Amino acid sequence: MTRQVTARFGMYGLLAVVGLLGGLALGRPEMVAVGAPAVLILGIGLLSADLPTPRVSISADRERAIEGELIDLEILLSADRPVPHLFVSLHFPHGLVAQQIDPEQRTEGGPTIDLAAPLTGTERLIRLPVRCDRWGTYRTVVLKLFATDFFGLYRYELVTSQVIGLKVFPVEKLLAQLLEPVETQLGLGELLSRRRGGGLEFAELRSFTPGDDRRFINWRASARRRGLWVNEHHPDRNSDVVLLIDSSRSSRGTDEEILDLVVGAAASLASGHLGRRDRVGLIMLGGRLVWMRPRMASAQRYQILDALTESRMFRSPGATFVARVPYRALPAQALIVGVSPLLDPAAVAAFGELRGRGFDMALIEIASEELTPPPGNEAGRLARRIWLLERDRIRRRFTSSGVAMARWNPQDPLDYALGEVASLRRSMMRSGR
Amino acid sequence: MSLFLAVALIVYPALAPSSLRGLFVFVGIVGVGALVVAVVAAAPGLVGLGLLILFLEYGVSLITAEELDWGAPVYGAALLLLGEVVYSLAARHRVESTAGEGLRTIVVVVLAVGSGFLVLGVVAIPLPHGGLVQALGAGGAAALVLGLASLARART
Repeated sequence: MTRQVTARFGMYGLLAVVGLLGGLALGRPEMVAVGAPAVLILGIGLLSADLPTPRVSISADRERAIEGELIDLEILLSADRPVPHLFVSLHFPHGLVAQQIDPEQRTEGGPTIDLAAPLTGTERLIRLPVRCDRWGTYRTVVLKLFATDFFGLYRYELVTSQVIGLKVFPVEKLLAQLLEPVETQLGLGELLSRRRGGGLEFAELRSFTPGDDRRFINWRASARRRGLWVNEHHPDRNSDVVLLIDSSRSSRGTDEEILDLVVGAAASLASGHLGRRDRVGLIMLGGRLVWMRPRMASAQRYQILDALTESRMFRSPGATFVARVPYRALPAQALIVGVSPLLDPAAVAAFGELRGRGFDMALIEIASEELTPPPGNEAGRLARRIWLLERDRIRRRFTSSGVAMARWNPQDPLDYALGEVASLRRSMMRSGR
Repeated sequence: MSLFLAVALIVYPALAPSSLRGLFVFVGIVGVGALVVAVVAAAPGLVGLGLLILFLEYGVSLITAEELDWGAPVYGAALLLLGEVVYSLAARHRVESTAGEGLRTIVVVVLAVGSGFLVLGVVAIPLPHGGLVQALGAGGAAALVLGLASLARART
């Protein structure tokens, strides 16, 4: 701990010196009588000034939480001897907000919180409720321990950074509809395959051939047509969905807001597709290449959420080159769903390259122009028009190459954009593109 | 309470039979003004300055006094009490400002009254070789200031 004198030390020092020396100079003992308590307080304070040695450790009651949830931080204070005037000041990273725990202590909630934590024994445990306001990985909390002596002449201070290792997952919104791939996989799922086979959904009628199961004979149709006819069904299959997330940093002021939207959309899509028993993979274009091959089950959901929460830590301008993505991360017949603001030219090139490789692709574009404030002058308006034209050109380039894409206005639910993409894909499939 | 103390500390020196009463009141108001600024600006560093001005007002008022002022310990206690109250107000944004406030204030007042009357009591005892005692007192005061200064230097 470091030690520094307080303004109170200066106050008593002034009174002591002026009392003693003023008494001498004026020859008045009353001055000494007034200054004497200041001398005594300083003397006692200086002689008893002993550097306290408190220790602190912090842990969260769990390692993972969801946006908006409350967690408990446990702050364990210990020292070799009691420290009656001990205080803790915690500074949380953006996204974590401490809650008020004791109105009598004048503690107010916020990103920084000061607590009186008198250590009357050798150990004390404080539970501090903290609200997780924003998704992300929170590794450390900056903590300041400070103590004062009885007269408040000294202030002892220790600044330390404590590891908490907390991951806050984004809220997964329930989506009313999901995109369907052109081709399904062989695994069982909730998607109807375009092929015929064992399933529940009726596909068509055909004439009976030897070997057909008698349970599938449609007796009513057979009676009308004077021959045996059997029902054919679509098999229930699943699909491979690879979420292609553009988390690259742009130089715009709305950067964090866009990342929130991208990550929120990715989490909702992953959860929705995994719930439909699809195999879901992830490729994150950003400062660090993150890829996960498509898998099923809830473990995959947590791995995807883990990767998404870390996306803010490794961001940099310039998307990672997609050619570095291993082949097995992009299985054949997989549906690639891209979520991007299309602001980074490298990301745009990456999406174009994937489409060029022949992947079935859909793209949800974050309408970043809705997030930027309107320009205030003529030059700004002209620049914005050029920028919008450029974005329009990118959109048309993707659409003409067979990528169904839709703009997602952040004010609207993601379902709107998904519905638009789904409708475009249907019309594209009908027209054979 | 702080307002009452401040007024009392301004008025008390001005009660001395002196032609400079107006000046005393003016200096006292300046001192209290410094304390008000310390509270408003949340600057505890200014509290010492305010107390110093009030203390100097009292010191100057003593120059023309002929008898020992037995009210000095009470004045000293009031001065330190005002200092503690104003300091807590000026440092209100710090969580440590109110820690142990009650007990500390009581100890300060008791120390102020006790040590003040002790000093005056010792002074009131008639002693032979008055010059020698005065020299010893001056030397003791200087040694005390130097001792405190060296102790403070070692502990900061």
